[in-house]
Amino acid sequence: MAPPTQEQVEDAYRRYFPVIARKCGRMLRNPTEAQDVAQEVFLRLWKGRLELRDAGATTAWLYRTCTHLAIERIRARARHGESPGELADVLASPGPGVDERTDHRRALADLVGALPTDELEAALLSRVDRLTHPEIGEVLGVSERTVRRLLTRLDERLAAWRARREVAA
Amino acid sequence: VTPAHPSFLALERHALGATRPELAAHLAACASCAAYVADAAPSAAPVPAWAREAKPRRTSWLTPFRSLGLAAAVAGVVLVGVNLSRPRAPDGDGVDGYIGTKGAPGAWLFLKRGDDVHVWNGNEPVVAGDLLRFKVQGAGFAHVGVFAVVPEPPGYARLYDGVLAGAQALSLPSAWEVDARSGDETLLVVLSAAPVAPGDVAGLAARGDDAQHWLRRFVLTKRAPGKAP
Repeated sequence: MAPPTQEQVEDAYRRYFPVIARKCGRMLRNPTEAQDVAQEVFLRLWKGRLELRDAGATTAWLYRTCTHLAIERIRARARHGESPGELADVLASPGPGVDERTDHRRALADLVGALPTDELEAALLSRVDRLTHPEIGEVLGVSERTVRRLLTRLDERLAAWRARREVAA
Repeated sequence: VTPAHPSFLALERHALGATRPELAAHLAACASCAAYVADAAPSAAPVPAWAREAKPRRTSWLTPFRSLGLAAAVAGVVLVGVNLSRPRAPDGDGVDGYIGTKGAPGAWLFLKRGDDVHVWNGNEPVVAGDLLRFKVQGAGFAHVGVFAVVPEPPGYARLYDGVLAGAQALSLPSAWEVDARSGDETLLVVLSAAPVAPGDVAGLAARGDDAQHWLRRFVLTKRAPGKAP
């Protein structure tokens, strides 16, 4: 396949960058961070030489890549002791009170580091992007049954995590 | 899942022309989803420089480069010799064109102009059409990233991210072509224990090397085509 022309790159940007930016903005509340990840995804988009005329396949790839890179970013932040804020709503609602916020943040950071990536990806796609199970399966390249298993396992882990925290409190 | 509304993915696909009949019916009755689709439509906004300029070419000169394997190997030997015999430029002055000793982290920039491939010497101007490719020696670092300084928004854009394995020097699979725009190009090679995000590069560059990171900056001055060096 020939390298993309300047016109193709600009067309890809106008067509797909709004999708990428919105998706990253939903997952990463910090606009600078979201922009960083969005740029990275766009660069990978045509480094990957996708057939960009197929909007279905391209958007599935974009969702998978955005989700994966956002989780990497949130995990990196958590390793530095910062809050995985975007995942807090997904993983640990209701949120903590003021008194327990520091402890909660630390616990969430540990949780984000420990959870399997595929379960986090499924959770973000389901609970942030509102994807159906068939759509999640298409994006992640797995069966609907696997999607259900991923989400069930995640819920079980979160229930156990909440129970441990309640006991500790 | 919110059963009352389609997913964002379905709405965005609709905006891009890949629609489903049942979605059209929903949009006719749902103002919020219809507004989302309108906002998600392809943008007419100007394409920023980082998107236009960061244009890796995966294959254009990899094949000829492979056929020049002997020349590249010779260049590597010369490189080490030069490096050992010349003092390294001070950090931060933007002229470290060739760096590295055996067993230590290193980054080399190969420049292909016409049929000629050679190691960039740290000062040589580049011209539009030159092809650039890095070779790195991880020396224990697990990841390599190549970043470019971009003006809008100010910061770094990642051009390449990859995993390093083994002690041998590795030629990165991506190459970049120098475009005709005026102004210097600044590239940063980062060897690290874990992947580095573009947003973290400025801070790392300011702090310098540590146990987890090794960085080298390559500032390339552009010469106008046809102008004598």
